[in-house]
Formats: sequence, C-alpha cells, structure tokens
Amino acid sequence: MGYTFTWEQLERICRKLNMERQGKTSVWKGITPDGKMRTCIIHAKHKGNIGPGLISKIAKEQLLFDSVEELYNFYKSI
Amino acid sequence: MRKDDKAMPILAVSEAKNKLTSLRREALTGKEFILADAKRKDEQAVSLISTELLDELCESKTFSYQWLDEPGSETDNYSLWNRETGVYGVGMTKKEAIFDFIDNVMDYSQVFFADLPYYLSRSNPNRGHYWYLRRILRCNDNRDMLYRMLSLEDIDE
Repeated sequence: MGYTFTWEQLERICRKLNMERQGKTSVWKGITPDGKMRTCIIHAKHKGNIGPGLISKIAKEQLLFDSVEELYNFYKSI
Repeated sequence: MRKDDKAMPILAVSEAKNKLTSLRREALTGKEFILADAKRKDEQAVSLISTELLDELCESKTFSYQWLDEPGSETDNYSLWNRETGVYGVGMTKKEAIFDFIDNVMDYSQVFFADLPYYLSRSNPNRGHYWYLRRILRCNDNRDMLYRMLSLEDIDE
C-alpha cells in the first residue's frame, strides 16, 4: 500500500517529534525523550506531495522510523 | 615540557601560547603539534595541524547521488538524494532539484557546525557527516565551487 504525505504533514510530524526549525534554514532538529537525535530537511517553498522514494528515505534515514508505514501510523496517532 | 625530538610533539597550552607564531610556521611544513591542558587532564587533546593537509585528507570524502522520484502520478517533482549526508533536493526539473540540494546542504552545514556538541555526540547517527560538511564549508558559500566539488556536473543533464 502506498502512503502519501504533504510537506505540511511532514512539518507536523517533526513538531510532534520535538524537532524545531533552525532559524530561517530548511533544517529541523531535536531529541525525543527516548534519546533519539533527529535531523530533517524541509523546504517551506515546496508544494504538493512528497515523492514516494523521498518519503521512504526521510522516514528511515532522517526521522529514524523503520518504514513509511510506521511513519504513517505515527502521523495518524497525532 | 616540549619534546622537540618527537615527530609529533606534545605541548602544554601555556607553552604553545608563548610560541604560537613559530609553531604555526612549523605546522605549515606538515608537523603536527598536540596540545594538552594540564589542568583538564580528562579532556581530549587538540592538534595544531596544517589546514591544507586536512583539506587533502577530506578529498577522499566524495559525494554520490540517487534520483529517487520523477514527476508522475504521485508527485510533481524530481527528488535527488545524496547518500553520504542524507540531504536531498526537490524541483520540477532536475536542475531545480540540484540547486535545491545545494541550498539544503549549505543550510545543513551551517546548522551542523553551529551545534557541534549535538552532532558529534556518540549517539547522533549523523556524526559521520562531519568531514563531508567540512568540505562544504571550505567552499565559503561559493556556489560554482560547490557545484564542482560536489561532482554535480556528472548528474546534470
């Protein structure tokens, strides 16, 4: 099953993960109570959906989820 | 305190402070000096070393890419992914995505080096990005130099 995310939804996820935008840059970072240190790139100017290949990389390599499905379930729980 | 006979001398900070000009001159020739703070023995040592040698060392840190997405039913954009830093670029054309990647990797380098204790923490998975991002910073925001150093011409059509 394919999961679709917008850039706004990604920002919401980052906020919930205790991440903050770093000044006027495209970089968000933060630590959750479990000690995970995350960094994510989000560019405010982007519109529409995030590509499926990219959201998979963001989910696993930037936000440290095991899969896009896990990211989707996290978003649904917010 | 200083052991001049050693290939890699260890100096006390107070001694290094007094001889900084001559130490810098020697470091330019390739000699590395290790500075130790006698008052803070549990802290790691610091090296005084030629910047050019460090730059040379970093040249082995090269960048590689993967096109993850292209415009279609699921997205309007190309997505470019850099494997070594986990930074991406997004754009309606490949060129736009490449320029977006340059913006993002410059931002990331600034943020990374502004909070080194965070990024160099042993538990931070991005710790290994240090030497790649150092290469970015050494381009001093010169986008043409960055474009060449990042080997982006290889993927630009």
